Amino acid sequence: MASLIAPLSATECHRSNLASSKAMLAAADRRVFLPMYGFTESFNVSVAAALVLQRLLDAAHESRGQLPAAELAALRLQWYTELARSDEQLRTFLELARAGGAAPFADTRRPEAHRAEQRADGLRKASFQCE
Amino acid sequence: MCKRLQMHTCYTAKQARRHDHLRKCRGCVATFEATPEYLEESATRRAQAVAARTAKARTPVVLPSVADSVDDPLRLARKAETVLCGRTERVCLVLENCSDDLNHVAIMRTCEALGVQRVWLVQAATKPTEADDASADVKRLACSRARRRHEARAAQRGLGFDPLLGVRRAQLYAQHLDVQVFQSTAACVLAARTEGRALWVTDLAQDALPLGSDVAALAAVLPPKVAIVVGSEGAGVSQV
Repeated sequence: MASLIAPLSATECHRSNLASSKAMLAAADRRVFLPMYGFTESFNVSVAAALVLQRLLDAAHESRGQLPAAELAALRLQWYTELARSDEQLRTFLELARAGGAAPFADTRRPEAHRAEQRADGLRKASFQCE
Repeated sequence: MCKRLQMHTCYTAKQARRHDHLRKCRGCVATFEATPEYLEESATRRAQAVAARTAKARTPVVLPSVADSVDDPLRLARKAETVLCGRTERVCLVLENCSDDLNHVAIMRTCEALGVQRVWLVQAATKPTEADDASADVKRLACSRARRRHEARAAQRGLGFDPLLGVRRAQLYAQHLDVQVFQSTAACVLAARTEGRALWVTDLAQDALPLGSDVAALAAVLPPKVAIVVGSEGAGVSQV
Protein backbone atom coordinates (compact mmCIF):
# COMPACT_ATOMS: atom_id res chain seq x y z
CA MET A 1 0.00 0.00 0.00
CA ALA A 2 2.76 2.40 0.90
CA SER A 3 4.41 1.69 -2.42
CA LEU A 4 1.18 2.56 -4.21
CA ILE A 5 1.06 5.97 -2.57
CA ALA A 6 4.70 6.93 -2.78
CA PRO A 7 6.62 4.52 -4.96
CA LEU A 8 9.97 6.27 -4.68
CA SER A 9 9.81 7.84 -1.24
CA ALA A 10 11.41 6.77 2.01
CA THR A 11 8.37 4.64 2.83
CA GLU A 12 9.96 1.95 0.68
CA CYS A 13 12.75 1.89 3.16
CA HIS A 14 10.50 0.51 5.91
CA ARG A 15 9.31 -2.29 3.73
CA SER A 16 12.71 -3.35 2.55
CA ASN A 17 13.82 -5.31 5.58
CA LEU A 18 10.85 -7.57 6.04
CA ALA A 19 12.66 -10.26 8.00
CA SER A 20 13.22 -8.08 11.06
CA SER A 21 9.60 -7.03 11.18
CA LYS A 22 8.53 -10.64 11.21
CA ALA A 23 10.98 -11.33 14.01
CA MET A 24 9.55 -8.47 16.03
CA LEU A 25 6.01 -9.66 15.46
CA ALA A 26 6.92 -13.19 16.49
CA ALA A 27 8.44 -11.88 19.73
CA ALA A 28 5.47 -9.66 20.54
CA ASP A 29 3.63 -10.22 23.81
CA ARG A 30 0.61 -8.43 22.46
CA ARG A 31 -0.50 -6.98 19.17
CA VAL A 32 -2.35 -3.71 19.30
CA PHE A 33 -3.99 -1.53 16.71
CA LEU A 34 -5.53 1.91 16.56
CA PRO A 35 -9.21 1.93 15.64
CA MET A 36 -9.80 3.65 12.32
CA TYR A 37 -13.15 4.67 10.96
CA GLY A 38 -12.54 5.66 7.36
CA PHE A 39 -11.67 4.00 4.07
CA THR A 40 -8.02 4.68 4.81
CA GLU A 41 -6.49 1.53 6.20
CA SER A 42 -3.43 2.91 7.91
CA PHE A 43 -1.94 5.93 9.58
CA ASN A 44 1.28 7.63 8.66
CA VAL A 45 3.98 6.10 10.89
CA SER A 46 4.65 9.26 12.88
CA VAL A 47 0.94 9.86 13.39
CA ALA A 48 0.46 6.26 14.51
CA ALA A 49 3.34 6.59 16.97
CA ALA A 50 1.88 9.78 18.40
CA LEU A 51 -1.61 8.35 18.80
CA VAL A 52 -0.43 5.08 20.34
CA LEU A 53 1.83 6.92 22.78
CA GLN A 54 -0.98 9.28 23.72
CA ARG A 55 -3.28 6.35 24.51
CA LEU A 56 -0.67 4.47 26.53
CA LEU A 57 0.45 7.55 28.42
CA ASP A 58 -3.13 8.40 29.31
CA ALA A 59 -3.33 5.01 30.97
CA ALA A 60 0.12 5.36 32.55
CA HIS A 61 -0.18 8.96 33.67
CA GLU A 62 0.94 8.38 37.27
CA SER A 63 4.28 7.00 36.08
CA ARG A 64 5.46 10.47 35.10
CA GLY A 65 8.43 11.79 37.05
CA GLN A 66 9.19 8.30 38.38
CA LEU A 67 12.59 7.80 36.74
CA PRO A 68 15.22 6.00 38.86
CA ALA A 69 16.68 8.41 41.44
CA ALA A 70 20.24 8.20 40.09
CA GLU A 71 19.15 8.90 36.54
CA LEU A 72 16.92 11.74 37.72
CA ALA A 73 19.80 13.39 39.57
CA ALA A 74 22.16 12.97 36.60
CA LEU A 75 19.64 14.44 34.15
CA ARG A 76 18.92 17.32 36.50
CA LEU A 77 22.60 18.16 36.79
CA GLN A 78 23.09 17.92 33.02
CA TRP A 79 20.09 20.04 32.06
CA TYR A 80 20.67 22.68 34.72
CA THR A 81 24.26 23.03 33.53
CA GLU A 82 23.19 23.30 29.90
CA LEU A 83 20.50 25.87 30.61
CA ALA A 84 22.39 28.23 32.91
CA ARG A 85 23.19 31.48 31.09
CA SER A 86 25.93 32.84 33.37
CA ASP A 87 28.43 31.60 35.91
CA GLU A 88 26.43 33.09 38.73
CA GLN A 89 23.26 31.40 37.50
CA LEU A 90 25.18 28.15 37.11
CA ARG A 91 26.23 28.28 40.76
CA THR A 92 22.65 28.93 41.87
CA PHE A 93 21.34 26.12 39.67
CA LEU A 94 23.93 23.63 40.88
CA GLU A 95 23.04 24.45 44.48
CA LEU A 96 19.39 23.91 43.60
CA ALA A 97 20.21 20.61 41.90
CA ARG A 98 22.05 19.43 45.01
CA ALA A 99 19.09 20.47 47.14
CA GLY A 100 16.78 18.27 45.06
CA GLY A 101 15.63 20.55 42.26
CA ALA A 102 13.66 23.74 41.77
CA ALA A 103 9.89 23.98 42.15
CA PRO A 104 8.31 22.79 38.90
CA PHE A 105 5.74 24.76 36.91
CA ALA A 106 2.25 23.45 36.33
CA ASP A 107 3.09 22.91 32.64
CA THR A 108 5.76 23.76 30.09
CA ARG A 109 4.02 26.62 28.34
CA ARG A 110 6.13 29.71 27.77
CA PRO A 111 5.33 33.16 29.17
CA GLU A 112 3.24 35.41 26.92
CA ALA A 113 6.06 37.93 26.45
CA HIS A 114 8.34 35.25 25.04
CA ARG A 115 5.63 33.96 22.73
CA ALA A 116 5.09 37.47 21.39
CA GLU A 117 8.83 37.73 20.78
CA GLN A 118 8.78 34.45 18.93
CA ARG A 119 5.89 35.55 16.77
CA ALA A 120 7.60 38.83 15.91
CA ASP A 121 10.73 36.88 15.02
CA GLY A 122 8.69 34.68 12.70
CA LEU A 123 7.18 37.74 11.03
CA ARG A 124 10.57 39.27 10.46
CA LYS A 125 11.79 36.07 8.87
CA ALA A 126 8.71 35.83 6.65
CA SER A 127 9.12 39.40 5.43
CA PHE A 128 12.80 38.77 4.79
CA GLN A 129 11.97 35.79 2.63
CA CYS A 130 9.40 37.76 0.66
CA GLU A 131 11.93 40.40 -0.41
CA MET B 1 -44.54 32.87 61.06
CA CYS B 2 -46.69 30.06 59.79
CA LYS B 3 -49.70 29.14 61.87
CA ARG B 4 -50.06 25.65 60.35
CA LEU B 5 -46.65 24.59 61.65
CA GLN B 6 -46.45 20.84 62.05
CA MET B 7 -43.52 18.48 61.67
CA HIS B 8 -45.13 16.28 59.02
CA THR B 9 -46.00 19.19 56.74
CA CYS B 10 -42.44 20.48 56.76
CA TYR B 11 -40.85 21.06 53.40
CA THR B 12 -37.69 19.00 53.96
CA ALA B 13 -35.83 17.38 56.80
CA LYS B 14 -33.49 20.33 56.69
CA GLN B 15 -36.41 22.73 57.09
CA ALA B 16 -37.58 20.76 60.10
CA ARG B 17 -34.27 21.28 61.85
CA ARG B 18 -34.37 25.02 61.33
CA HIS B 19 -35.19 27.60 63.96
CA ASP B 20 -38.85 28.41 64.28
CA HIS B 21 -38.62 31.85 62.70
CA LEU B 22 -36.94 30.40 59.62
CA ARG B 23 -39.06 27.33 59.24
CA LYS B 24 -41.56 27.15 56.39
CA CYS B 25 -44.19 24.52 55.81
CA ARG B 26 -45.10 23.21 52.33
CA GLY B 27 -48.13 25.42 52.14
CA CYS B 28 -46.12 28.53 52.88
CA VAL B 29 -43.45 27.62 50.38
CA ALA B 30 -46.03 27.00 47.65
CA THR B 31 -47.67 30.35 48.29
CA PHE B 32 -44.34 32.12 48.45
CA GLU B 33 -42.95 30.54 45.26
CA ALA B 34 -46.00 31.49 43.23
CA THR B 35 -45.45 35.25 43.78
CA PRO B 36 -44.09 37.08 40.68
CA GLU B 37 -41.32 38.70 42.77
CA TYR B 38 -39.98 35.29 43.70
CA LEU B 39 -40.12 34.00 40.13
CA GLU B 40 -38.23 37.02 38.87
CA GLU B 41 -35.64 36.77 41.63
CA SER B 42 -35.04 33.06 41.06
CA ALA B 43 -34.62 33.66 37.30
CA THR B 44 -31.96 36.33 37.90
CA ARG B 45 -30.25 34.12 40.48
CA ARG B 46 -30.13 31.24 38.00
CA ALA B 47 -28.69 33.52 35.29
CA GLN B 48 -26.04 34.74 37.74
CA ALA B 49 -25.10 31.16 38.61
CA VAL B 50 -24.70 30.27 34.92
CA ALA B 51 -22.59 33.39 34.32
CA ALA B 52 -20.38 32.56 37.30
CA ARG B 53 -19.91 29.02 36.08
CA THR B 54 -18.87 30.10 32.56
CA ALA B 55 -16.52 32.74 33.98
CA LYS B 56 -14.93 30.04 36.11
CA ALA B 57 -14.46 27.84 33.06
CA ARG B 58 -12.86 30.66 31.09
CA THR B 59 -10.26 31.67 33.66
CA PRO B 60 -7.01 29.69 33.18
CA VAL B 61 -6.54 26.73 35.50
CA VAL B 62 -2.88 27.57 36.06
CA LEU B 63 -2.24 29.73 39.08
CA PRO B 64 0.09 32.66 38.41
CA SER B 65 2.65 31.38 40.89
CA VAL B 66 3.06 28.02 39.14
CA ALA B 67 3.10 29.33 35.55
CA ASP B 68 6.28 30.32 33.75
CA SER B 69 6.97 34.05 33.96
CA VAL B 70 9.63 36.28 32.43
CA ASP B 71 10.91 37.81 35.66
CA ASP B 72 11.41 34.59 37.59
CA PRO B 73 15.20 34.34 38.13
CA LEU B 74 15.00 30.56 38.40
CA ARG B 75 12.73 30.02 35.42
CA LEU B 76 15.18 27.94 33.39
CA ALA B 77 15.84 25.58 36.28
CA ARG B 78 12.14 25.37 37.00
CA LYS B 79 11.45 24.64 33.34
CA ALA B 80 14.00 21.81 33.39
CA GLU B 81 12.40 20.48 36.56
CA THR B 82 8.94 20.62 34.93
CA VAL B 83 10.23 18.57 32.01
CA LEU B 84 11.84 16.14 34.44
CA CYS B 85 8.54 15.73 36.28
CA GLY B 86 6.85 14.84 32.99
CA ARG B 87 9.31 12.16 31.93
CA THR B 88 8.24 8.52 32.09
CA GLU B 89 10.08 5.28 31.52
CA ARG B 90 7.07 3.00 31.81
CA VAL B 91 6.39 3.34 28.11
CA CYS B 92 9.31 2.98 25.71
CA LEU B 93 9.13 3.50 21.96
CA VAL B 94 10.87 1.13 19.57
CA LEU B 95 11.48 2.31 16.04
CA GLU B 96 12.34 -0.41 13.57
CA ASN B 97 14.29 0.06 10.34
CA CYS B 98 15.24 3.49 11.45
CA SER B 99 16.71 5.93 8.98
CA ASP B 100 17.22 9.63 8.57
CA ASP B 101 13.68 10.23 7.51
CA LEU B 102 11.31 13.11 8.18
CA ASN B 103 8.82 10.73 9.77
CA HIS B 104 11.40 9.60 12.25
CA VAL B 105 12.37 13.17 13.06
CA ALA B 106 8.68 13.77 13.77
CA ILE B 107 8.53 10.69 16.00
CA MET B 108 11.55 11.77 18.04
CA ARG B 109 10.03 15.19 18.46
CA THR B 110 6.72 13.68 19.59
CA CYS B 111 8.48 11.41 22.11
CA GLU B 112 10.33 14.39 23.53
CA ALA B 113 7.15 16.43 23.78
CA LEU B 114 5.13 13.63 25.37
CA GLY B 115 7.87 12.80 27.89
CA VAL B 116 8.78 9.33 26.65
CA GLN B 117 12.33 9.07 27.97
CA ARG B 118 13.36 5.74 26.43
CA VAL B 119 13.59 5.48 22.67
CA TRP B 120 15.10 2.41 21.06
CA LEU B 121 16.22 2.53 17.46
CA VAL B 122 16.76 -0.65 15.49
CA GLN B 123 19.11 -0.12 12.59
CA ALA B 124 17.96 -0.89 9.10
CA ALA B 125 19.88 -3.67 7.39
CA THR B 126 22.88 -2.17 5.68
CA LYS B 127 23.92 -5.36 3.93
CA PRO B 128 21.57 -7.52 1.89
CA THR B 129 21.02 -11.03 3.23
CA GLU B 130 20.72 -14.07 1.01
CA ALA B 131 17.32 -14.94 2.40
CA ASP B 132 15.86 -11.53 1.61
CA ASP B 133 13.61 -11.52 -1.44
CA ALA B 134 13.84 -7.78 -1.79
CA SER B 135 17.62 -7.85 -2.01
CA ALA B 136 17.69 -5.42 -4.91
CA ASP B 137 15.81 -2.85 -2.82
CA VAL B 138 18.00 -3.37 0.20
CA LYS B 139 21.15 -3.10 -1.85
CA ARG B 140 19.95 0.12 -3.37
CA LEU B 141 19.19 1.62 0.07
CA ALA B 142 22.31 0.41 1.84
CA CYS B 143 24.63 2.46 -0.35
CA SER B 144 22.11 4.86 -1.77
CA ARG B 145 23.16 8.05 -3.44
CA ALA B 146 21.04 10.03 -0.99
CA ARG B 147 22.88 8.49 1.97
CA ARG B 148 26.26 9.28 0.45
CA ARG B 149 25.16 12.79 -0.41
CA HIS B 150 24.00 13.41 3.17
CA GLU B 151 27.31 12.18 4.51
CA ALA B 152 29.31 14.33 2.13
CA ARG B 153 27.27 17.43 2.88
CA ALA B 154 27.60 16.92 6.62
CA ALA B 155 31.38 16.54 6.28
CA GLN B 156 31.54 19.71 4.22
CA ARG B 157 29.74 21.69 6.89
CA GLY B 158 31.71 20.11 9.68
CA LEU B 159 28.62 18.49 11.19
CA GLY B 160 28.42 15.07 12.67
CA PHE B 161 26.47 12.63 10.53
CA ASP B 162 24.56 9.88 12.25
CA PRO B 163 23.22 7.20 9.90
CA LEU B 164 20.17 6.83 12.14
CA LEU B 165 19.43 10.43 12.97
CA GLY B 166 21.13 12.21 10.08
CA VAL B 167 22.14 15.85 10.40
CA ARG B 168 18.56 16.89 10.85
CA ARG B 169 16.82 18.08 13.94
CA ALA B 170 16.30 14.53 15.16
CA GLN B 171 19.71 14.83 16.80
CA LEU B 172 18.48 17.89 18.63
CA TYR B 173 15.46 16.11 20.04
CA ALA B 174 17.48 12.99 20.75
CA GLN B 175 19.89 14.82 23.04
CA HIS B 176 17.17 15.17 25.67
CA LEU B 177 16.15 11.51 25.41
CA ASP B 178 17.67 8.21 26.40
CA VAL B 179 18.27 6.78 22.93
CA GLN B 180 19.60 3.25 22.56
CA VAL B 181 20.64 1.86 19.20
CA PHE B 182 20.38 -1.84 18.40
CA GLN B 183 22.07 -3.58 15.50
CA SER B 184 19.26 -6.08 15.03
CA THR B 185 15.71 -6.85 16.07
CA ALA B 186 16.93 -9.84 18.08
CA ALA B 187 19.17 -7.61 20.21
CA CYS B 188 16.28 -5.24 20.81
CA VAL B 189 13.94 -8.08 21.83
CA LEU B 190 16.61 -9.44 24.17
CA ALA B 191 17.03 -6.03 25.81
CA ALA B 192 13.28 -5.80 26.37
CA ARG B 193 13.22 -9.28 27.95
CA THR B 194 16.19 -8.47 30.21
CA GLU B 195 14.53 -5.30 31.44
CA GLY B 196 11.26 -7.12 31.99
CA ARG B 197 9.45 -5.03 29.42
CA ALA B 198 6.40 -6.38 27.70
CA LEU B 199 6.68 -6.05 23.94
CA TRP B 200 3.63 -4.57 22.28
CA VAL B 201 3.60 -4.31 18.51
CA THR B 202 1.25 -2.24 16.36
CA ASP B 203 -0.37 -4.52 13.83
CA LEU B 204 -3.35 -4.38 11.54
CA ALA B 205 -4.23 -8.07 12.09
CA GLN B 206 -7.83 -8.71 13.06
CA ASP B 207 -6.92 -10.39 16.36
CA ALA B 208 -4.99 -7.36 17.60
CA LEU B 209 -6.13 -5.53 20.72
CA PRO B 210 -7.87 -2.27 19.80
CA LEU B 211 -6.51 0.75 21.65
CA GLY B 212 -9.88 2.34 22.27
CA SER B 213 -10.79 5.42 24.23
CA ASP B 214 -11.45 3.42 27.43
CA VAL B 215 -8.48 4.51 29.55
CA ALA B 216 -9.49 2.46 32.59
CA ALA B 217 -9.64 -0.77 30.60
CA LEU B 218 -6.24 -0.08 29.06
CA ALA B 219 -4.76 0.81 32.45
CA ALA B 220 -5.97 -2.58 33.74
CA VAL B 221 -4.07 -4.54 31.07
CA LEU B 222 -1.03 -2.27 30.79
CA PRO B 223 2.09 -4.03 32.14
CA PRO B 224 4.38 -2.17 34.59
CA LYS B 225 6.89 -1.69 31.77
CA VAL B 226 6.06 -1.76 28.10
CA ALA B 227 7.93 -1.26 24.86
CA ILE B 228 5.73 -0.27 21.96
CA VAL B 229 6.99 -1.07 18.49
CA VAL B 230 5.81 1.15 15.67
CA GLY B 231 6.21 -0.25 12.20
CA SER B 232 6.01 0.81 8.64
CA GLU B 233 2.98 2.43 7.09
CA GLY B 234 0.47 0.24 5.38
CA ALA B 235 1.84 -3.02 6.58
CA GLY B 236 2.19 -2.25 10.27
CA VAL B 237 5.02 -4.39 11.60
CA SER B 238 3.53 -7.31 9.84
CA GLN B 239 3.92 -10.08 7.33
CA VAL B 240 3.46 -8.23 4.06
